[in-house]
Amino acid sequence: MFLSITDLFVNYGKLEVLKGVSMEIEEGEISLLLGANGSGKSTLLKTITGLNRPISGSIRFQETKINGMASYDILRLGIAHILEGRKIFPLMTVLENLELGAYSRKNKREIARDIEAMCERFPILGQKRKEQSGNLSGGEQQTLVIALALMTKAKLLLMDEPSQGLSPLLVNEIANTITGLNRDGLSIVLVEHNLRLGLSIADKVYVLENGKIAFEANSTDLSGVEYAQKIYLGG
Amino acid sequence: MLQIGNGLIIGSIYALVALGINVIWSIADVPDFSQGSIFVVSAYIGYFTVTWVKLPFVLALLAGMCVGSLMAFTFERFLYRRWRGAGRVQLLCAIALFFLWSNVVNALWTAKAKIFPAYLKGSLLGFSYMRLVVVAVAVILFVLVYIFIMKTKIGKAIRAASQESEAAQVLGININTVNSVVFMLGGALSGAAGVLVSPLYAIFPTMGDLPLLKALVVVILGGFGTVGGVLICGLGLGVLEALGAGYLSSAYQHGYAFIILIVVLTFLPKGLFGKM
Repeated sequence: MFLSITDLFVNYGKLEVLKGVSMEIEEGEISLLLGANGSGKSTLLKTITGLNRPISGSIRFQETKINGMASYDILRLGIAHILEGRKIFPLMTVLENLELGAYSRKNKREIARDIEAMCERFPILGQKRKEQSGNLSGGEQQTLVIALALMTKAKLLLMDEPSQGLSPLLVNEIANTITGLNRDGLSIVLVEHNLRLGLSIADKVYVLENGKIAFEANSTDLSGVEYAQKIYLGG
Repeated sequence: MLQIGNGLIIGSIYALVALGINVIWSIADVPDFSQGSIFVVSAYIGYFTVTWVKLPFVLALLAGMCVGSLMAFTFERFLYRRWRGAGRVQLLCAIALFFLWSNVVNALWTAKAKIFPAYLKGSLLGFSYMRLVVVAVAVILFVLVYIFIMKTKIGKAIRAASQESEAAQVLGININTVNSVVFMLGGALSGAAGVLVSPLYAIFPTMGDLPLLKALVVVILGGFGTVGGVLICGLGLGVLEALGAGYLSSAYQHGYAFIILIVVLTFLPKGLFGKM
């Protein structure tokens, strides 16, 4: 199994956030993780990449147990994480940001080539490579965040709310980017409040409720959509 | 002229301690008061290197920097790291370390002031060479730190971690290494400041108190800004203090820093060079 989570318990201080999450993520798929505010979606992603420590349970990535590992070791195994809220390094240039994306890689020639490739794939980054990234627009920053994650050469990408605060036009662009990356072979776990965006590109849907996976289905399965709508709209 | 010169000399001491505190604060989120203790211990180490071991001043400076670096590394590794994320506990640790070491130094070497032997004779434009060395070494250290932070891989990791710690971690930056490095850097700078200032004044257990307070003022004035911002604020504070002492009243010499702090923060809450 690609990513396998078994009976995961995570607390924030005394608050129990995840209470026995189990899920299996397949290679090559886009998995959409839904849930109401505060249901623990971000916590789950952060626990996968080692930013949170679970109380109990296990996380395995390609048969390697990764819970308890440091974030930098988890990244080396091939899991990248785009945090909620467009976390770039605002006081550094676009180029320096991209270099940081390759922080754990050694081959300088390959890194330079990948930076060029990234600037071709996302021309706006190429044009603004010398600018301080804090001055970029919201959409440009989101593009940079994605490029940063791609510079890590990960096999699995966790994305937390990539469409947050973007205009509908940019949301479409992000959706196209995500499907493009997936077509190139990247597996993706997507946390997304924009149901339409999420469902339009996901292969599988998981719903997190009361600290557990309450529901999982293929995104073509209409009952999944209904369930998700019920969670969001309370209907 | 004399006042400005003297201000620049004491200002470079403030700036050195402030630079270390600034970098540590931006990464570990704690005002590391123990830098004041490191300042004192390093001054004594420098003193003993010159008087007991009979080594030249340059080696005393290096010894002070090494000891400072080692002390800061130890404090981070075994105390601050344990309480990472618990800001109040870390703050208490910082205060506890400061008072603990103040007493340790007092017990080890008594409160009686020691006089550091002069290592250079002669003067230029009314300033002794030893005073000029303080400014020169401070400027060299600032340039080195600037190159280290801006150009090296670990320097970039430090900048990244200070801007977005979690994002830096998921990109493969080892936050423990970054913490160790910034504390060692801070310790080395405070150590250098302690040894540099020793030949100009006496050495005594509380000699670090005022430089520590002034350095904290510099950091806050600078608004956790850049390396250059800390240098300008440090030197500026030294000069204003010296001018205040010379032309207004020397009785309030150590109060001017805080008046300036209050005035600046009233109108510029982010400090003079604040970006964060």
